[in-house]
Amino acid sequence: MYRSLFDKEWLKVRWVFLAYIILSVSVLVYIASDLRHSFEMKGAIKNWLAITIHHEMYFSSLRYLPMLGGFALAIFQFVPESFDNRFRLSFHLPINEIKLLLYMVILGLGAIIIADLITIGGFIAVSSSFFPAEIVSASYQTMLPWFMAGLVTYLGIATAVVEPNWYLRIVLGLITYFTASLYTQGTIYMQYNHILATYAIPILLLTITIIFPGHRLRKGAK
Amino acid sequence: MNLKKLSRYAIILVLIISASVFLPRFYHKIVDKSTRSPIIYYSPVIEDFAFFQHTGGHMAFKDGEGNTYSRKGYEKLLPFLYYRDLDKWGVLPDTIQGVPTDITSIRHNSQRIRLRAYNMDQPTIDLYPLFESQSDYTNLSYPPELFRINERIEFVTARTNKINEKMSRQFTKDLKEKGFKFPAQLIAGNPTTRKPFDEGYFIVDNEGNVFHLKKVQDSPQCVKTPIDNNLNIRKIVISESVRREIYGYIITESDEVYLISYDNYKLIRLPLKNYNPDKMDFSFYADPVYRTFKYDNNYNYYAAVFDSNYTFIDSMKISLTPEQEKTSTKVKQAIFPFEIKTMKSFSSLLHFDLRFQSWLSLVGILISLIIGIFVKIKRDENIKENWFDFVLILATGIYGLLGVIFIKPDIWD
Repeated sequence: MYRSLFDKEWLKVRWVFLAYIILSVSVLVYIASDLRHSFEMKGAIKNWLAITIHHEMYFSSLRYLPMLGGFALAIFQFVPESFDNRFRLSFHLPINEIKLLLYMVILGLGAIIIADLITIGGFIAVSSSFFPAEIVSASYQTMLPWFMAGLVTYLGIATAVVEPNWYLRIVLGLITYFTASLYTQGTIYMQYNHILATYAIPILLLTITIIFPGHRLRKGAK
Repeated sequence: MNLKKLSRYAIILVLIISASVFLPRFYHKIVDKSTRSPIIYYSPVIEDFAFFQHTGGHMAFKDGEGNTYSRKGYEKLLPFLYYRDLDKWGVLPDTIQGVPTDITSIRHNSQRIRLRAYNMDQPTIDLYPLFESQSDYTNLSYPPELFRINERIEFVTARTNKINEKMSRQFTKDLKEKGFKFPAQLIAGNPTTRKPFDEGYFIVDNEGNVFHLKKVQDSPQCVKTPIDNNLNIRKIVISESVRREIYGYIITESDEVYLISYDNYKLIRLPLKNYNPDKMDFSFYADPVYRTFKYDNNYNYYAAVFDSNYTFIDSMKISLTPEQEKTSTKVKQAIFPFEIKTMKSFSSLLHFDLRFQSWLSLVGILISLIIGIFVKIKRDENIKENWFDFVLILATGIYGLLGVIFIKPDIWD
């Protein structure tokens, strides 16, 4: 049962999953070419100092990418189910709707985390060829909350899409937007480091929010 | 509570968290009025403080006795500060307290160093440029490498991203010979080319001793300073000035401030009352006669003045209306029972601080509760099944109210 569900989810999200990875890799290629150009024009030391002294973020083009990825994945995974009452077909499977929805969310989160790990790995590889360990480590630590924003967006938008009522869908969309923006406020390096665990709380809460609209959908709420 | 209900409350809690960050922030954007800081100096003419302040849309110029001045009159009190204006008006005196007041001499004998509370907790990327301190050229230029200190001092060349082994070994050897114990606790310098010369770095080693490291003709020049290793140094601020009186200052874990003098690193302790480095911006201003220290928390503005031998002369404090006494703050406290602050005025970090307001919040909570009951009755909701909604309103006021109104329980709940 779970195997077939996995196949069904994979069919829905495979293209958007690949597109997200391709987009991330493209942004990394852009960052690398930008660094090469800037190193050539300004010299390596000026680029290093711009980071260590002025906290310039050479990777700021990655800031909203995880949010975009989370949004796209939630749309591609849940929109096909939510329209024309297709979810109600799935609800006839011999598996209760809570387990079904949570399983879908876990698969989606898994896909995002895999894509993000590929992005972070690629980023570390690109950065390490230009910068010493201190800058590379400060950089990916600075980016971590941005990836958390991606998880918030995915979970929030999935909840909004499953919700049958348009008015509530908009409210859920707004909650998602504001919550995700809590993670992208940073203007200097490593501002969230000491408080990341606390910022995980909204994400934990959001992992179960999909049950409420799912239940409403099943009951035929309008 | 079943998982379906729990899921609804999870949505409401996320809404409460976001709302308690953004609604108070939005409120501030609507009601905040600018409070202009008073600017305090010490006048060598009247030997008293002179300050100006924006009040009710105009600038008020006063001295410590409360006498008021015109802008021109005020500037005449502070010739070391406004010498260009005074010179333009032809009223710059030749000497003040026996000190010549030609423009060059004033410029050469003035210095400012600032330290914002923001800088106290700012995360650092621990790589530093070590300038050539005795270059053949007037302007400083950045070295091709940055250094780090772990088990030794390492110089990493930026162009190749590789360690310069020769330099690393040479500097490590010299530091060890001077008694430096790796790793470093603190590295403080002034990494900018916009300074008249370079004084290198003050480095606190693993045993608390302070070393002064410079690069002279590509070789290390390291001095173990006589500064007490039990000082518990928290921050060192270095700022080169042609006055060559002080290297900068030290702030200790117990919030004491010491100047580091050029006289064999002798420390000068400054008795600054109520100074809190985490919550106050600090500045040092030296003119040809006085040394003034100013620090403020946007509410209390302190100034302490010393003579050129750092003997205390006088101090002053100006207080603005406290935030808590403003009507807009009281309204805020009534509307919002708490707020989550992610940004704080004197911190460079992001936070997640839950701040409760005051007893005034009970008003807002009570109104929220009444609205909540009214809406629920009107909507014909099952109050008995959803009693926890009221607990949420009681605990979180307007945020909980918004939550339970927007995310309403279903009729079958």
